[in-house]
Amino acid sequence: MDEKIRELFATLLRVSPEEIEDQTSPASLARWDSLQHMIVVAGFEEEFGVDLDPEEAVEMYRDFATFKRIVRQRMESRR
Amino acid sequence: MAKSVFTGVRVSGVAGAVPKAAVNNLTDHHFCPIEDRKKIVALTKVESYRKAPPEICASDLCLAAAETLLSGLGRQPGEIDAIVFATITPDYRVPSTACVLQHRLKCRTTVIAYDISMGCSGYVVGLYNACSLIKGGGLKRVLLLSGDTQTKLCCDQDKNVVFILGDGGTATLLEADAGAGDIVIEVMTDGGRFQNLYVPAGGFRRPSTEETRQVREQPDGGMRSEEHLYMNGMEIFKFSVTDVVKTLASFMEAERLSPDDVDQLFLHQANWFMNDKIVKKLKFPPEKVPYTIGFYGNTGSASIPLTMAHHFSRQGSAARERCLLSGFGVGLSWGVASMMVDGVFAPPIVELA
Repeated sequence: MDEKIRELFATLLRVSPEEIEDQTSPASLARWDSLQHMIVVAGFEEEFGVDLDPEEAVEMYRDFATFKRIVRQRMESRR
Repeated sequence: MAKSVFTGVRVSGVAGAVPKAAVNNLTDHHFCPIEDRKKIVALTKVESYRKAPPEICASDLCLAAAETLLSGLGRQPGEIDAIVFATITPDYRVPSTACVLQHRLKCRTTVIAYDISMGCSGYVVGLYNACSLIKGGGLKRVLLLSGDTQTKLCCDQDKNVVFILGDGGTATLLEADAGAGDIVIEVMTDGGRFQNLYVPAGGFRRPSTEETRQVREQPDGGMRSEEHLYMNGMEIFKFSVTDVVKTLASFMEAERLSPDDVDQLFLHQANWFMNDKIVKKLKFPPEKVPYTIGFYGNTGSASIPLTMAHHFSRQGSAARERCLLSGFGVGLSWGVASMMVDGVFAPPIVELA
């Protein structure tokens, strides 16, 4: 699951997966700006069929580890 | 609390005008890779927007809307008691463009006319002013003009804003009418966050210099000068989906309004992704939320009335609908208004070449 999230994140952001690590953040990855972040969030919503809360979308902008955690939590809460 | 109930004020008509020239977000903006353009359009739903040529200002768009409105309602300019112009793109720094419009509209000189320097909340703040002039000032007719040429505020290479901001102007006529229902308006302000959406230089705090006019890559990756509009996208997103939602929710609770009681929710046309989050958080059915962002973009102070004009011009004048309006943006400033719209006159949107 973690790898799937990383690959989708990289695809939506249009960067290589190798650039995405847990500590990757908007501060360390120039491409990850607010506009691209919303595109990525929308992409995850479409891929996984979920509607993320706006507060979650904001929190996910912290770093990739947080992004991953919230996606996993959402997937688990669907089961 | 800046919340007021205005009894006996009627919204008689609302009209809009846009530039004829359109920008297509998929085929224009060649500085941005096509894959990015597609994703931005899919996210914001702004396929195109209108862009005014250099010689057309927001005041020209509002003037066209006002002339169409007054003519259609059978009102003479001489019957107007006040002109309120909500805009962040005035003709001049001095005087208020509303004064110039008094002359251009051929209104009497025995009117009050002034600008309100408000952007996306401008229509709601403008409504507050117009209603106050009628109820508190005893005026009979107030022409509320609300419009912006935001394309002139942004750098055409700043991907953060250039895909979203468009140009538009509107005119709304408010009249004293003892039989009209209540208009309830609440406005909020947080100037502590003003730097999340502003033009940093060119005013008196930081006057214009050769340096401030220079277009260069900024810390957030956007290409613009310090005299172009800057937006901290994530902070504005956070503001919109928390503060604005909270104010709308508490307003509805105080007014005992549920989504079932509201016929139309007119939100400032910020961007579709963000607005959809607001709509879902408030549990509004999508069919009650009209949009014009897909073809007019985010027109600042014009966006709410332009969407209303578009909606009601299609509904016809027989519509009687409970409307909830919310504008939010520069300031930071945000507001909510509730009104019953009953038989409003709304002509087709004018296009100005």
